[in-house]
Amino acid sequence: MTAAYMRSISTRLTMMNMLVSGVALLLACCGFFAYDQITFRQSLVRTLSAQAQLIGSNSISALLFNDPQSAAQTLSALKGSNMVDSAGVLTLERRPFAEYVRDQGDDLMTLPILSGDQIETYRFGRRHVVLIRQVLSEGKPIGFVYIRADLSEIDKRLKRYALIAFAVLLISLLVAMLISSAFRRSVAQPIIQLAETAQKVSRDRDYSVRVTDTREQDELAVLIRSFNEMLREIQQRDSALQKARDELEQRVSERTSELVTSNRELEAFSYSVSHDLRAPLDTMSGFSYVLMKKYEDKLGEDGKQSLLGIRAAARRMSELIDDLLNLSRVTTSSMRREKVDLSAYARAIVEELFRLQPDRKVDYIGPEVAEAYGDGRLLRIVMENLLRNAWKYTAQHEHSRIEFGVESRDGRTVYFVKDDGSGFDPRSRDRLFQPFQRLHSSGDFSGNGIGLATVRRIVQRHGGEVWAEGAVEKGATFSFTLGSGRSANPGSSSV
Amino acid sequence: MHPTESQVKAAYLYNFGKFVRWPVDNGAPPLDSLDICIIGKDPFGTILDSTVAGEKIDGRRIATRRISNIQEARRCSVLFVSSSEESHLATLLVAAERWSVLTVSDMRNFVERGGTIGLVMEQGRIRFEVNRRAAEQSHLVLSSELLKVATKVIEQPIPGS
Repeated sequence: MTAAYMRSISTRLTMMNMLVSGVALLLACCGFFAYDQITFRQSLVRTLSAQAQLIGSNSISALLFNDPQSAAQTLSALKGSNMVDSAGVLTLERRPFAEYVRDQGDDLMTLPILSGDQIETYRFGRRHVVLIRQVLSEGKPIGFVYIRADLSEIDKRLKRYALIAFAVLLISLLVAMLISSAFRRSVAQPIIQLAETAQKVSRDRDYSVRVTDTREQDELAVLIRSFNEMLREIQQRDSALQKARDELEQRVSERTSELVTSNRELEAFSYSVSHDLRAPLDTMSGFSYVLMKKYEDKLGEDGKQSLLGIRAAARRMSELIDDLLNLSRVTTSSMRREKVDLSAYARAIVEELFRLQPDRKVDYIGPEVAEAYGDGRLLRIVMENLLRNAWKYTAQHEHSRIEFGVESRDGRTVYFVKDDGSGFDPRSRDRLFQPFQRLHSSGDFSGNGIGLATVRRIVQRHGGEVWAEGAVEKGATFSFTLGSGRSANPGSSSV
Repeated sequence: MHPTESQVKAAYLYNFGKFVRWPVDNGAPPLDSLDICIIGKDPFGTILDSTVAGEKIDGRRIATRRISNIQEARRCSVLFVSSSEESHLATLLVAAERWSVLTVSDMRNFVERGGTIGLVMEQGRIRFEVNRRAAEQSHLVLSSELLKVATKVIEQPIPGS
């Protein structure tokens, strides 16, 4: 991994260096070469012009006195110039007068024509340059001098330059490589270290590592310091978070065990209390029954009424104990969900109520089927409580109506039990589901205030909710939903 | 079309003037014309006049004169000595030397006899010979360019001077 980083970053640095220096050098070479070409050509023309001038003035007498040998001798001075491959003197009629040939070459030479008042002209060919100049005597042309030079010198220079440029390029690239390897330590190395550290941090979640700080004062150093600072911050927060979590867990487990203990004690207590209360109550009930049977005629009307009061109280207390045991069972017993028909429960319960009080005039309305998904035993308790309540609170009306129904509201299935009984004060709605809270005096309606609390407990265990609507003497509607089954109160059975 | 012998000789007479420096301090004011004189029988006719017509050397126009007496050669710059004057050549040369006149002739052995430039025929071409000594005695400076193209350069004093 290190080698790969190293290669990529330092390779890029090296490439950058080499590219920049290479391009700069190439451009410089091109510019220099172009300049050299131009100046070389110019100076070549100047040289040839000077030579032509010299030869021309030295050939005046030869031309005037018709002495080609003398002109040839003058021309032979060009032997010293290795660029000139041929030269000559022409008469005014452009007939060859004298010639100097070092290397004729294979291409035919055509001399440029002087136009108008031109004294001299030149022409660059592919491999040669030809310059022709008038020979003047007393301001009048008496002939021409031409010089042809070989341009292979330029080629040679070009090759030489290319060679030099190549060598310089090679050397500077080498130097660029060396420089970039020196820079690697100061630029690439910290980046590589940074990358490695970042990777280690993200892979191992180890925030204790740090990047070695460089002594530089550049952006890289700022980056490294900021990175280290960030790591330190994360490490601090991490440990603080861990500590908080540990503490929380500790506290939760402590509380849980406390709660479990106290809840268990409470349950045991309430169970034993209910159980233990029942035994003397049964005794009381039994004896009062015996008293009633055997000594009814001796008690008199007052005594009989008192005894009936005792018996009613004992019965109520028995019911209370039943409900308490029920509530405790609802809270603790395990739950098994299945598909049940609440409407069937409702019908059975209402039939039972009619059987107990056949003289009541109540219209029951309910659907054919009301499917629900939940614990059948517990849901039966819910239905029983709600319908019993409805039955109870419509007792003062001569003719009443109780409705059980199911409807879909906001995508939820809502079950409801509706009556046209005495209803309740909406302001005290919240107190309805509290245990032992009674809105009505026990004189009006019998009951112990545990039923709705039980209903709420069961509905909550199913992950649903329960609420009530109503007004005084306007009847009451109790609605509830059942959760999907997944969100059922999970803590209940263990607590 | 090749020029005739006379045309070439006439051109030479004129061209020699370009390669000779005459003494400046010979008492007389600078001449505004360069006189080419012919003494004796004129072999050129109108050729010389047409050759030099309109020409100038060092800003001086060229004039031609035919003389019969050497006394008339005093203001001449170039003196063509016709073959007809061969008999009294020595007197002529002495006079020419005194007045710094460049003597030219196509007579045989002209330079050996004290003349300065002698025209000769060589391989069908007209060339010339130079007597440097004669030129020196006449205080004439001949250009090396001229000497370069001469077929022969000798050192022969002018007899009798």
